Amino acid sequence: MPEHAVQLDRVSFAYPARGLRDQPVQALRDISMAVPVGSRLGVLGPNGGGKSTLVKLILGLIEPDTGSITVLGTTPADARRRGLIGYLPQRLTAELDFPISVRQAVAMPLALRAGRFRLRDRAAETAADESLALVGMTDLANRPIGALSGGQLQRAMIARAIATRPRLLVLDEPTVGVDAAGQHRFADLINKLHAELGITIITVSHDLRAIAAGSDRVACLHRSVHFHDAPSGLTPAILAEVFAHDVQAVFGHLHIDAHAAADCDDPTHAPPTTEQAAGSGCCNHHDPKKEGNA
Amino acid sequence: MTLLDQLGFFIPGIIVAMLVALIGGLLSPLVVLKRLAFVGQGVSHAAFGGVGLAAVLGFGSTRGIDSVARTLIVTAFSIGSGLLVSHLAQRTQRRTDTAIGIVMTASMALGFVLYRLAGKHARESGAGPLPSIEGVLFGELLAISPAGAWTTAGVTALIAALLFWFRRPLVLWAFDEQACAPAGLNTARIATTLLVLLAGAVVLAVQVAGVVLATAILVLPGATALRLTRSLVPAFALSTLIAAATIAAGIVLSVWLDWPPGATIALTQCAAWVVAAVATGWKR
Repeated sequence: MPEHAVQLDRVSFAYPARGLRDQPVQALRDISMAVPVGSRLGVLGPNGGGKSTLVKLILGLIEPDTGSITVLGTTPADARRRGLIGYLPQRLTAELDFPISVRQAVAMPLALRAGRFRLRDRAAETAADESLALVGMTDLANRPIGALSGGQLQRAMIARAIATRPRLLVLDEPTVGVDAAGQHRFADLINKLHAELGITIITVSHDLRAIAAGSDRVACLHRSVHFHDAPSGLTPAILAEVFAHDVQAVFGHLHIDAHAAADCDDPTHAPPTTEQAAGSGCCNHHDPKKEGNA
Repeated sequence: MTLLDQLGFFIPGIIVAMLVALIGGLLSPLVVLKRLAFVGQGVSHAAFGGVGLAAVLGFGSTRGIDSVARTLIVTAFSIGSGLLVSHLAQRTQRRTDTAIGIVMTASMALGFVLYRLAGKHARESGAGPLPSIEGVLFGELLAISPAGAWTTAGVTALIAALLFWFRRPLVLWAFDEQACAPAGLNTARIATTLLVLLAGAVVLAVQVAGVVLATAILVLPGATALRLTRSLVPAFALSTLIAAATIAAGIVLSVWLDWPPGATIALTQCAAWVVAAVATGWKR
């Protein structure tokens, strides 16, 4: 069994120029990182910082220009094909008009492994039921997929991501558009899955709360890795470097404290998102009532 | 002459129509759920380019061995058009609907020019006139020969087999394209597979309803079935039954009322959708 779930060695990647006058866009430069098996890594960085590119590289959807990546001791593409990687995409693009139940939606990727001549795959349905039980959705298994709320749909998609019993789960911006209470529930769910399945989890986000609530280690990414350590080592100065803003100067009155965020279980005490911290001008004064209504 | 005697002329056409009902009925729910109706429309119109090309190459007739060569050329042209749409949509950052618009109009225009040139050449060489362009546009059920029916049976068997073999990847792709790559599937390959199957089905449907109305067979049975059931497998079965029933009813009505068969089939399928829509409530 490999020691590291993911190992990146001096990985660089640039998107090719679109037009004759354009230059290639360097998305990642000289990234080296090792994610131990069974750990929880949070990748924090601004929009355009290379987080989605990192996800695509780990999933084997693109190849690095230089350097190498191994996922669970093999190539990312091989790990993906063997069902070793579970993935929750940033935007859920499923056709919700589809006339299928939640169970059928969760079982779909599993059913791909069934024999071509087998009309119904009961093993896939059983595995789907187990995954739905893990995310607390057993009672909704027969409900049409289009009848779920946003939060329920996200849980169903997590159930689908873990249905193949992957050993690595990649979550891409999982809490975008989710209120503080929802983020708290999401963190609880991920921690539960980590405890029960012993799975390696990589959460990619621009949101400090999403990262701090459920990560053993944090990697700050802005084209290159600026920090890779326990969340307690994260300081406003590092955030400022990654997000290219003086975070303390902008949000000092809100008492941003990554240390506190890492230990805090109360969603109403969570700091603002790093996108807010990056000084987009949408300063959100920390008002629990307002967040509760969000 | 009784109605049954009149229907006797249609036997190769009726066989082809039932085969088209099978393929159209099976593909139709996917076309509706994945919102590919315009893609179907584009590929069916592009088939006209293939008809023009076949005519210029000397296979304009719908009789005998010519009809087999014609069907194969139109199939190849339609699949090529579908792949070109896919290429334009993926490689040049254009929207799929724009790519379809470009390929559809180019193929239609090319088909019309080539058909006219072939017609002129046929008249001058004394080879006799080509089938009317109206038949190509709106279907020529009466003109289908036994050889054409055999070719259709072969293409139908091939499409049905491929559809069965790729059913799970196709359904996952139609439900959530984003889930394909993490599940180890090649998304572009699945999309291309469906496009090729759709192009093959269009070529078959064109014989019954013409390039203008072929989309009806690929859209309406699925749209009607999905109003009547909210389960996926029954939707495919129901769609096939609806396709067969409406095409059969359309043929009978066209003989009885002396209406053009392709248009009557399309109107029958529209009527079935309206009945289903009224029965289930318009807003659903």
